[in-house]
Amino acid sequence: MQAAGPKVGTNRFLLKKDTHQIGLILGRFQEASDCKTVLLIDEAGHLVSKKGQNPTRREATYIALLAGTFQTTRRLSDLLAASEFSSRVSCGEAGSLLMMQVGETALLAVTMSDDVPSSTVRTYALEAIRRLEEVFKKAEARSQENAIAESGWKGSDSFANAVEQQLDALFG
Amino acid sequence: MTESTVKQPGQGVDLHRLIFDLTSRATEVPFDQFVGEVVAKLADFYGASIGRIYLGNSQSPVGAVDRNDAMAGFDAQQNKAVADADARLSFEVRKQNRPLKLSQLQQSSAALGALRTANVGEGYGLPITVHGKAKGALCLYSSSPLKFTKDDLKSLQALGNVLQGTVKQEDGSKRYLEDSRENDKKLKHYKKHLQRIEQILEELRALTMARSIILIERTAEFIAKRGEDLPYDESHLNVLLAGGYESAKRLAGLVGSSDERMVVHEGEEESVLVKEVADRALLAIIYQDHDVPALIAEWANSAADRLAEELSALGEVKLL
Repeated sequence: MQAAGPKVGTNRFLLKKDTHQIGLILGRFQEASDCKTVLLIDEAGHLVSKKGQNPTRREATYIALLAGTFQTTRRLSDLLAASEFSSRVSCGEAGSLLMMQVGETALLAVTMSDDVPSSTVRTYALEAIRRLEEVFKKAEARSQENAIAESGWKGSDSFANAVEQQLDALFG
Repeated sequence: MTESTVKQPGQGVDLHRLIFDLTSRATEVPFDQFVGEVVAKLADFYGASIGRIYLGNSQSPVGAVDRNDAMAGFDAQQNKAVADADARLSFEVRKQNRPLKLSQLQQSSAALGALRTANVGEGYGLPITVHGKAKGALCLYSSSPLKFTKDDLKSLQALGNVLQGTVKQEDGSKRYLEDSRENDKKLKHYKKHLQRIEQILEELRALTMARSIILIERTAEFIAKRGEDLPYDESHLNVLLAGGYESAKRLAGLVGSSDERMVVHEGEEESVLVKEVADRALLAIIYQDHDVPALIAEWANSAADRLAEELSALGEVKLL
């Protein structure tokens, strides 16, 4: 069993428009499912996007634990030969925490109250995951040149020239 | 000890050979029988009517022989006088670590008088040494004066080593038997509770129609299982379940949960429900599509309560 390479968290081709789209998908999912919080994290434990209220004040710990649980869940799904796998943790009065895989490299963590049927959340989540996967696929397929062109970033040359001039002026 | 004796012991039989033969019996017969044989053979060798052997600091002989029933005609008073004198003789021999005669002890006249009525003249005490220290005494009573040489004492030392080893072995054997009996009881108790645990798991499996039900420690050690063999490494599964549960529990704690102890991993075809049992174990139910998954959680809760009682009883059984 081989861990997938960290693609989302280190993908430099995930553009602003992609993160915007991800935010929209998560926002719609949160509204539709009426869940408390939606977090998208990559397998390295980086927060990609978040919607809804803060699940805890110790967000960094929370995300790190999610990443650890994500890895365990992935191994478990490999063991049971399931391509789609999720974990649900009962949190008593605090509701439930649902973790679902997004492709190979990301995890969707949803906290919801007990009033919300988990089957409904799951249905909406599956649709959100499908759309998120499309965004990731596009980002992965994008070459560096296309990424730069699409981003419309033109500041690298002028900035480099400006720095060079300043250095020349300083040292002669 | 006076050497002006006329009795030639053993009538030509070598004491070394006798002791060698005796020691070979140490492992063949029970300790009591072995000591009895030793004192009888030695009394026979020296031509003594009465023989007694003491070990350790005991004031009672571990083996005794009265070849001619010399003491059979003693009344209670004579018996007591001889027994007391014999105990004192053995005590002094062990204390002084040298051969002594009964007549050398003070206040031995009553015993000597009683012995003479039985045609037994004198008592002789010989130390049984182990590594130079007196660990026992051999007391012999004979109508004829007995002669002991240094070789005799050396031979008795060899016997002392064997007797000491036999005592330890016997003591160890007794302790081992006691421990074994105790462990046997505990094992039976353990087995009984383990059977109940397996019965609960079997009932739960029948209710949930689960593929497999596993009970593991929170540290991932296996306790019990019911259901079919899974086509993958189960120890790997146990570790994943335990690790996943701990991190999930911590996550739940971060979002405000304090008492809920259940995690469900849902796959396309198979799902795994993990429920904590009595703060120390995890009940994992591996099931395929179920019409009412919520029922599985309810049954798991119920089974966890029953299992908690059995695990608590198991915890009281400390095998080692």
